[in-house]
Amino acid sequence: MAIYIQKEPFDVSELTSNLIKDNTSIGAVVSFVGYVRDYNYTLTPKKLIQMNLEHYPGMTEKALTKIELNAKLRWGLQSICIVHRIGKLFPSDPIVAVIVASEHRKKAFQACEYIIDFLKTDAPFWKKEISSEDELWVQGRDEDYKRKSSWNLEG
Amino acid sequence: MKINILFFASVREMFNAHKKDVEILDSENSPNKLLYFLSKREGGSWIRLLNEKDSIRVAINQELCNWDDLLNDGDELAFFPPITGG
Repeated sequence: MAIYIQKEPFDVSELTSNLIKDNTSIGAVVSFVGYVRDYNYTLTPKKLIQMNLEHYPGMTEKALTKIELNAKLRWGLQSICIVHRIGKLFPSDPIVAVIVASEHRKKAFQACEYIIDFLKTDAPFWKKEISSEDELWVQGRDEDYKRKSSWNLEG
Repeated sequence: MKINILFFASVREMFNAHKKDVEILDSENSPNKLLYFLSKREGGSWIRLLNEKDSIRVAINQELCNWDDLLNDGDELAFFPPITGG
């Protein structure tokens, strides 16, 4: 299991190669990558020119480790990598990647979605969106909490 | 007792500070009690935080917690808005 919090860009193919290296039991890898969009309807004007990402050092790593462990317990995965960027980001920059390796595809698809859903509500990151005349902290979304709860209902 | 308080995102901007160490009575032993206590004693940003309490999250020693959870001497207590990573 790997967790990286960094200012620098990341390379998903390099991270994937490291994840599957020397593990011949892996039959499937699923990855999710989140990017900076260049608009947000709550901004005035709506065009986003920069995003600032802040986190809580220490708690972030603990929260992500817990999410990884829970996913591993639930699906018995081979390997997981989570990378999240902080600092100044610009439209089209990758923000986050979740890469999951398992023996078969179903577990990897499910676990990848589970991890990003829990990251959204449990890992202490905050985004500030900046337009030419405005800056706003992104508000928490009820939808994210509903998605997280739905995993508990599925058992 | 001594509590090490951290602020993040909009709460950090509200206080114009990232951290504050406070000395409080042993009886103010929850985030909720501490917030009411400091609002009375210090006013200013603490009153603003109290007014926005419903939209604020708390963590004790780097674990998300409830407003009525127990605080102990030397704990790290963080106040922040809802998480918005990913």
